[in-house]
Formats: sequence, C-alpha cells, structure tokens
Amino acid sequence: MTITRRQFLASAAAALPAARALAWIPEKPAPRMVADAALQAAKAGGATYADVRLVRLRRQSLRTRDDHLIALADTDSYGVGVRVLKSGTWGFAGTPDVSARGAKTAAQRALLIAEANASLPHRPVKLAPEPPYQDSWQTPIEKDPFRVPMDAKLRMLTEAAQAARGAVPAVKLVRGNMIAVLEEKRFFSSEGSDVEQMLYRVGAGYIVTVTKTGDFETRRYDAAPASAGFEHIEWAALPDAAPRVAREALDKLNADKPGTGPRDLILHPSHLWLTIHESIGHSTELDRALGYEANLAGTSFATPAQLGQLRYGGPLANFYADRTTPGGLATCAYDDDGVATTRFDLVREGVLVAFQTSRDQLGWPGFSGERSRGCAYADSWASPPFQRMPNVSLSPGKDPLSLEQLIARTDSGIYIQGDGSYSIDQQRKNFQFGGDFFWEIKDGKLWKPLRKVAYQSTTLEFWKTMDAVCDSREWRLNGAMSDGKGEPMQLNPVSHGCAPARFRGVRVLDASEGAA
Amino acid sequence: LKELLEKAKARALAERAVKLTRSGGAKEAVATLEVSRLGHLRFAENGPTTSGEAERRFLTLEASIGRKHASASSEDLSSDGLSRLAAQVVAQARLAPEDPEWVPEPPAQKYTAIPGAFDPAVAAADPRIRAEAVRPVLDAAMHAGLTAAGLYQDVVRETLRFSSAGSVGSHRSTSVELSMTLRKPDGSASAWAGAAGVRAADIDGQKLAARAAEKARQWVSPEALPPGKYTVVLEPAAVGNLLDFVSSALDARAAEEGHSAFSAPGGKTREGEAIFGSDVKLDSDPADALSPGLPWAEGGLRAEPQIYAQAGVLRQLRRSRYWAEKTSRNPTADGGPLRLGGGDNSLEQLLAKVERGLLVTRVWYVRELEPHTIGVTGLTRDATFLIEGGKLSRAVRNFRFNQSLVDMLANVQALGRVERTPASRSPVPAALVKDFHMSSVSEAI
Repeated sequence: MTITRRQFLASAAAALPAARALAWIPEKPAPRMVADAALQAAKAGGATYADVRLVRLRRQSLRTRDDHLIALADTDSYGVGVRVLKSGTWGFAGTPDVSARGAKTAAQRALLIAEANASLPHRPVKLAPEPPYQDSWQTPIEKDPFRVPMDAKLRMLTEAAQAARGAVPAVKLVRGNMIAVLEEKRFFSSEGSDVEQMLYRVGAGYIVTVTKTGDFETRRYDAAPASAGFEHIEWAALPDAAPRVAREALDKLNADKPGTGPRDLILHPSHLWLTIHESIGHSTELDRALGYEANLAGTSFATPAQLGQLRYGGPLANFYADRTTPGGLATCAYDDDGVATTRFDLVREGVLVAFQTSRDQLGWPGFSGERSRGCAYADSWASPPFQRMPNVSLSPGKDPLSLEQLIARTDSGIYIQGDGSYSIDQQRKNFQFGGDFFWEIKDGKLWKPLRKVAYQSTTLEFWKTMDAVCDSREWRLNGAMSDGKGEPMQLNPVSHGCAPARFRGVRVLDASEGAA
Repeated sequence: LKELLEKAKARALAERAVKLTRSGGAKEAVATLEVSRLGHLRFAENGPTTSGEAERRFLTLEASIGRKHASASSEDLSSDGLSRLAAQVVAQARLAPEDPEWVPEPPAQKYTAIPGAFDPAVAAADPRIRAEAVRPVLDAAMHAGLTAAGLYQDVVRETLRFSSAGSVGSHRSTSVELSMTLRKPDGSASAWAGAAGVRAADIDGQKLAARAAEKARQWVSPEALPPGKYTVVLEPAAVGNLLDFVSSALDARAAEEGHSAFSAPGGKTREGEAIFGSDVKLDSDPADALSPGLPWAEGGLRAEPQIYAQAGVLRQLRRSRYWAEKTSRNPTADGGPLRLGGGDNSLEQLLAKVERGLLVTRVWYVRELEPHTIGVTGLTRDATFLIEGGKLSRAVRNFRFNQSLVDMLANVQALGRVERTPASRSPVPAALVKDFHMSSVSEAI
C-alpha cells in the first residue's frame, strides 16, 4: 500500500525513458539559461535566496450530456515563476515570457515587491535547510492520457449514458466528465537544485439524474481522481457500472428520509476520504494553526502547544501524511520548495504528533525537527508556492476485518457511500456531511436505501466514536483535483486513503429539514 | 497597461488566429484573447506574507465543422504558437462527434462598450502602492492590540472577442479588493471587513480596519443561543455568498426538465409566480457601476440588461441559445453578475426594525443540500451579534444554518443599499430576513 521513497523512485525510473520523449518543456531557450538569468539578477539585487520554476501545464477536459459531447477543451499554459527572499520578505513574479530576458525582468520585479513589503512591519523569513538535488521524476503511467484517441475516451462516457438510460426509463439526464492533466516543471534554486518532474493526473465519472412528477434525485459514479495514466480510467469500467448506478438513483428517489437522532455509521472510503480531508488534513496545517489563513480558509482548533497531548481519537486513529503514496494526487518526489517528499505521522494512536510544514516556517512554534515536511505547492507558474496539504490517510486496522464482516457485526445503523454536500467551520470543528448513497442497516444486513441523510458532529467528538476500521484489503484512495486555499485562491490536488470504518452514535439529520 | 497589449495588435492577432483556424478547415471560428495582470499582497500576523504579480495572456480558439466543435487555449502567442493552436483545435473538432446541441455563431453583433469599468490608477498599481494600502490595516490592528490577516489585490484585464461571423468586441476592466480579519491574539474574538470595486478609490483601508477592530472589540463573552429560527440581518458579504447559489439555479432548461427549484408540474416553470418577498428584485446589467460585466453574453450575443424577478415575482429564467431554439423562446443574453436590489435602508435602519434577532457579518463554507429548494448549509463567522430593541446587544456564538434560499428570499422583510464585497461579484445589499434556520451552534471563532 505504501512504499519507501527509494522504492518509489526506483519504480518511477522504469517509466522515465519513454516519457522523456514526450517532454513538453521546450529545449529552446534552454531552461538552465532562463533560470540562470533570473538567479543571477536575484543575487545581483540582493536576494538571500531565489528559486525559478518553469511550468508547463496541459489540461484536457471533456463534458458529455447523454450520448453527445458538449464541450472539449484543451489548455496549454507555459511560463516561469521567480521567487526571491530579500530583507526577510518574499517577492514573486510570474511571466509567460520564457526567455532569459523575461526571467530576468521577473526576478527584478520580484525584488521590488520584496523591498516594498520589507517597509512594512515583519518578522524576517528563515528557511529550513535542505540539500540541493539534481534529479528527474515522473508519475509512473502505462498509458499517456493525451495519446489516447478521442473516440475511445468519449465512448466510455456515452456508452455509460446509454447503459443507464437503457436500464431505467426514469433516467432524465446523464452528465459525464473526463479530465487529464500533465504538470511538467523544472525547479532551479540559488542553492543549486535542478529538479525536473512530470506529474500526470486523471479523473472521470458521470452523474445520473432520475425524475418523477415533482421530484428528482441523482447518483454518481467515478474513477476516483488519481495521479496515474489512462489505465486508471479504464479500470473503473464506467459503462459497466451504469445500469447499477441508474437503478440506485431510482431506489434513492423512492427511498425514505432518515429520522433525526444518534445513529451508528459505516463510512465507505468513497465518502470517508472527504471527512478526513476536512477534519484531519486541514486542522493539521501549521500555517492555518498559527493564523496565516485566518482571513479566508480559517484557523485550526489544534495548536502547536498541544503537540503530543491533543487527543483526536482512540488507538485506531492513526493518520499520516505521505507525498510518496502511489496514485496520490499530491504525490511527487520534490515539493515546490525543492524539498524531498516523505511520509510522516500526524496523529498516532489518537494523539496529535506533527503538523504539515514548508521551508519558510523554520522557527515557528510547532515546526518539529530541522527540516521541512515537504508540503509546499504552487498551482501554476503564475502562483507563489505556499504550504499545501499532502496526501493524508487513515491507516487500516491491524486486525482482519472486511467490509462485509463490519456490516454483519452492526445491528442497526446507516452505511454511506460517496461524498455529497460537505461543510465545516473555519476552525475545523463543527461539520456536516452528506453522501451520495445510503443504506439502512438492520440486524447486520443492508436493509433498505435511504435519501437525504446528513450527519453533524465536531472533529474531536467524531473521531473518538470510531470503534472499527477494516483491514488493508479494503483500503482505497480517493481525492480531489482542486482543493482551494490561500488568497488569491490556489487549487491543490490531494488524495486520502482509508478503509471502511464504523462510528458510534453520530447525530444524523434529514438534510432537507430546514432546507426544504 | 499599454505594455500588456495594444488594442490594434490584439485585434490583428485574434483575426489572424481565426483566419488560420478557418483555412485549416473550420467552418466557424472564434478567438478570445485575454491579457491580464494580477498583483497581490497577503498579510498575516501583522506583517506581509506571500506577495506577487503575474501576467497572463490566454488565447482561446473555438472551432466548429458542422455540428462538431472543440476549443483550445494557449499562452504561446508567437506565430508558430498560433499556427499550432489553430491546427490543434481544428484536429480536435474533426475528431469530435456531432453535437446535436450545437448552435452556430449568431449573425454579426454590435457590442456596446461598457463605460466606467476601467481605472488607470489600478492599472498603474505597483508594489509600493500595495504596501501603502495595507499599512493602515496593520497600524490599526497593532494599535488595537489585534492580529490582522488579509489580502489586497488588484487586477487589470483586457479581453477581445473576434468571430468569423463578424462580431468583434473588446473590453478593458480593473478590479481591486481589500479584506481583513482582525483577531484577538488569544483567539477569543475574530471580526472581518472588506470591500471591492473597479477603482482604487473604492477601497478605504483605514475605514475598513476601524470597522473590523470595533467589531472585534465588541465581540466579548459570546453567548451560545439555542438553534432555531431567527430574524437575521445579513450583511452584504453574507448575502453575496448566498446569492451565488440562487444565480446558478436560474436555469430554464433544468426547470423545464423537472430538476430545479423553479420546476412546475407538466414540464413548466414557476415563471410568473410571486415566489419572493415583495421588495425583491433580481436582475443583471453588463453596465453595472459596481461590478461591470462583459459586452457579450453566452454564445457571442450582445449582452443586455435582464430582469429575473421584480416585486417578488419570478419574471424569467436563463435560457441558453440551444434551449431557446428548442423551446421557441428568446435566449437570455446575460453579461453581468446577478444583482439583488429593492431597498435603500442603512444598516442602522435595518437593525432598528428588529426587536430580537441576529446580525451576521459573513458566512462560510456554504454548500447545496437540497436543489429542490436551493437548500444550503453553511456557518456564520467573524462577529455574530444579538440584536435587541433595534440595536446590537451582545456577542453570540456562531451557528451552522440549514436554509432554503427560496424561502430566504421569500422572507425578506427589508433591504439595504447595494455594495460590492470580495465575497461575490454580485452587488448586493444587507438583508433583513425572518425565520432563518440555525441548525446547531458552532464553537469556532
């Protein structure tokens, strides 16, 4: 399920030669020359540190409605971002003019920004040490999604729509989507790093809408977005699942709403990933905990003073951050500070043990150890890097336990699949999550579908109610291509792995209550 | 701005891209060129954090061959780059299957220039100007013993549209915003203020910081009130955030297909029904003074002012060009953000109308729960107060709310003066709303 960095690099190396031929960053002008022009200008202007990222971002998205394509869009963005540290403050400038002159001008602009900001009261930025690297890495893939014929991609979505409509006459609409991203970047730093990475990400799925007089419902199916090639989409067998998905949409339309009150919940990984993301992933970001995101994303209930003491849950509550998880959307070999990525525990046996960090947090309370945890990311060449979430996952249970067994051992409860409406407060305490499909559990069996189920809890109460986690056979990755944070907002791809888990006595409500 | 792009050059480039696309085999082609510069300065812990400038220049080409179509965008505006992009979009359009919903470009449109969308002072913004815009906020926070975090941002943008059908238009715009959250260092209070506009002069950092500092000062010993239905005064940032969900629900097709809050039995819509409070007006105008839109609407039509609801009656839903053709109705040429209007009360006048209720500064993490009613969940944050006898009486804990926005607009009792905030592009007023459903207490500060 997880591998060491050494194994990770070894597995990636096998895929490298073929992909090199596909490199999108042009050879002319030479990236090294462009970077040197910026680094020299930064040094001449008094920067104590500088880095240069040449980033080419290619994205293809398809959208279908029933049996036809309604949008096909290809985007290709290439530019250079220069970041300088001068007088203890950051300056950044990005330009699509990828030339020695363009990069030099950007560096000079970044210096002006740092100088202007240094006139404001500030605490000088200090960078955690990191050795320079000269390396290449790419997402291991089998099929380049940009080389798969268009009709093959489209067929998966339109056949799914036809299969859904064929199975259930009440299907009114099937909306499909597919996305492929290639993020190629070359990172140079004034400390001597020169790292090239090619990161592939793919995702696809569809939403089936069924209607009857005065009412409607939806049911979704997707290949959980992942850092992978097109093979990941093929494995999801989108058309094969469509008849079942359509039938479930109809079952949901005809289902009862839940009663309000405490219920036991079994949460499938296709749902639980988002609860982990919101309550664990965001609450353990050090910048957030110290007020750096207070104006939008918010702060955190967890503080550095509580390291080693704050209890999130019982012995099953083991959460770790890992930017080397195969398939993880945040997976890479080096972050955008040029730090080698790693795996580390955030919550061990229920207790907070670490925060996510980036290089410029050295000296902050809660910055454990001497090195950054490798959590910096910038969503394009036009954005400055800052601390972003790595893949954050829940360890599987150590005792053998399948999902089937877990359901069989639950007398009464609700089983939730897929993510739905989700909302959490700005300190990551009070949350409300919906889902995509719900089963009433009675006497250890899935008894009947439900609709409009949501649960409300607070992070620390919720994770303390977790009394069972299935074993590694049931562990799955899910994630989001675009998690928003920062101002101006940047979008971070991130995954979360977990096995199905059970939670006791969580407050369930009818999601339409008050909203109806 | 002249460094970014000269208009004549942009037009020549777009025209060339369209010619290349058509000579490559496209029957129709549209080029949209967008050149922008975004500058920002973030601050936190009473000092600057990340800060930068980025120039972008995106050319998007849309090509169609019969009912086959595709689009492609690139930042490579070199001669070779243009040729590659044109070849790529034509190749993709050839590969695409026929789209039965494809509607060809409308006949040549005369786009109307939008006045007042551009401020040279914003276009001339530089790092020193941003630092000086933020300085009074940091000074005010430190003077009040508070900790400030926030954002100053300025954007200058030029957009040009050129279609093979002969529609040509361009638009220059600027926008600027400042928002801040002032917190007590021990985390026991948090208050927000923010403003956005076209002109640099629309932002008064000192005034905003004073407002946030005063709210932080007042927010002491918050009481946890029980969940339930409350009369609320929603400040414009809260209203703007919620109105975005209403805007996306105003779709005629979804209503007529039976999966919308505005569906009526028999494939009909609720157009013509008195759905909202009698003061409520929902409309859009591409020439709105606070938040100007674009001269063109979906599919290249000339943008025109639109009225969606007036005196509480739903007048129309948005109709795409395809759906308009299919239903033999006129398409909605909407070029601006949805606006809410209908009142002229000051905030104090709205508070004076409330015997007992809540003042909500802003809302957070709003997500749709129930499309049947545009039901949403979300939370209040950054200074929520109890109103008693027409005045703020004391601080209260934040709430999670579960609320139908159709009901919210039906329960509007009075509206304030329209503002633009960083929370939304929609210019909106503060709103006095009865029976707003708070579902649980949020301990978050």
